[in-house]
Amino acid sequence: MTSISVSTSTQLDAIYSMMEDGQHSVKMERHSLLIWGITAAVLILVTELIFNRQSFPLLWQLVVAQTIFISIILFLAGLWDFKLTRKVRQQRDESLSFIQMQLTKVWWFFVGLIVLVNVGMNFFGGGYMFYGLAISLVGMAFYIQGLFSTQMLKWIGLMLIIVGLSSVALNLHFLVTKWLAAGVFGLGFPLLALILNKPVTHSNILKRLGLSAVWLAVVIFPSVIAYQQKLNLNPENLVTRSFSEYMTLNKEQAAQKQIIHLPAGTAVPVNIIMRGDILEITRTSNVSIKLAKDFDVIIDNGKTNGYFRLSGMDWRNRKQDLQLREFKMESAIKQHQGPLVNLGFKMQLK
Amino acid sequence: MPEENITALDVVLHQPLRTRIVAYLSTRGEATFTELKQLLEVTDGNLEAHIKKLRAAEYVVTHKVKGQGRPQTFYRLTASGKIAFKQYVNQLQNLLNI
Repeated sequence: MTSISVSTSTQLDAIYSMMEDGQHSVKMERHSLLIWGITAAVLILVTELIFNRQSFPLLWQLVVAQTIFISIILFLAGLWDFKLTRKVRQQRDESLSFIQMQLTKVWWFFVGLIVLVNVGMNFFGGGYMFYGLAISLVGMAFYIQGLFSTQMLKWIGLMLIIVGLSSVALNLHFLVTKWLAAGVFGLGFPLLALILNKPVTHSNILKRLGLSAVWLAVVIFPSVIAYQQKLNLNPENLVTRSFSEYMTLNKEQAAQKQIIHLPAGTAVPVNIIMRGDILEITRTSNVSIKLAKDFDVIIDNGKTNGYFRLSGMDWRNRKQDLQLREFKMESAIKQHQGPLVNLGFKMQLK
Repeated sequence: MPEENITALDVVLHQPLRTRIVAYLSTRGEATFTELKQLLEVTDGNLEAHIKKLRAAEYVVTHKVKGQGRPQTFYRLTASGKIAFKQYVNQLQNLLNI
C-alpha cells in the first residue's frame, strides 16, 4: 500500500515537472539577439542622417518616408530571423512550439507599437522620451517571453525596463538617450547573446547582479561619450561680438561663423503665426520677449545654427535642449471687452 | 478501494517514461524525437519503443515536415490522448485524496 502511494505521488510529481518543462520550453536563439540588436542600433544611428528636414521639408513627407524605411528594414530583419531560426531548429531536429509562435506575434505587436509611437511623436511631440520608451517596450517583450522560458529573459526584460524608464524619469538629454539606445541594442544585445545559454545565468543573485552591472557599464558607455562630446562643443576659437558690432560688419565679415553676445534685458521681437481648422492664418509681431540672462548664439553664414549658451553654462542645442511645456489656453467673453483668448506656455532648458 | 482504483489506471499511461512523454506534450504542444530524447535522457531504442506504444493506443500522432535538410518528425497528443491523460491525472489525484 505504501509503495503504491509513493509511486503514485512520484508519478504526479513527474507529471507536474514535465508539464512545467513543456510550459517553459521557449528558447531565444543567439542569432535573434544579434540580428535585432544590430538592426535596431543601425536604424537609431542612420535614420536621422537620411531622413531630416533638409531632405524632406514637409513633416508628413518626412514621417511617411521614415516609417516606410524603418518598417521595411524591420520586416527584413524579422524575416531573416524567422528563416534562420527555422533552419537552426531543423538542423538540431527541434520544433517551434505553439507558445513560441504566439510569442513571435507578441514581438511583432511590440515592434509595431514602437514604430507607431515614433510616428505619433513626430506629429504630437514628446520625442525626447522615444528611445527610453522603446527600450522599455522591448524590455516588456523580453519579460513576456521569459514567462515561458528557462533562459534569463525575465531578468533581461526587467533590466531593459529599468534602463528605459530611468532615462525618461531622469529627463536625460535626447542625444544621450539616443546613444543609450544604440548601446543597449548594438552592444548590449550581442553581449546577452554571448551569455544567454551559459550556466552562469542560472547562478545566484549576486553573480547575476555582477553580470548586470558589467552589462550596464558597457551599454551606458556610448551615451557617456556622447554626453562628453556635447559638453565639448565649446567653439572657443570663434570671435565673440556684441549685436551692435555685428550690425556694423560688412557682408563678408557677417557671413563668418561667430558668436553674438546678447546681454540680459535685450528685447527680442517674436513673430507668431497661428493657424488651424478654426482660425484664419493670423500673424502677429507685437510681442517681444526679454532675456533674463546673458545669451550667446552662434551665427554661421548669417543664420543661427541652433547652438546657444546662457552665461556661465555649456553650449546647448535649441532642438534638443529647449522645451516648450505647460501649454495653456483659456477663452472668455467679457461683457465690455468681447471675446478673449489667453495663451501661455513655459520655455525651459532640459 | 485503492486496489480497484489502481487496476482501473490506464496501463499505457501508467509507465513512468510514457507518463512523462504525454505530460510534456500536453503543455508543449508538439516535440521532435531529438527534443524528447534530450529531455528524458533515454536511448533511441527505449524512446522509440514507448512512442510506439503510445501511437498504438492512438494517444500520440506523428507528422513529418519536409524542409531543406532531412524531414523532421513531430509528435503530438491526439484528442483521445489528452482525455486519457486528464483522466489518468484525476485518478492519481483521487488515489492521493488531493
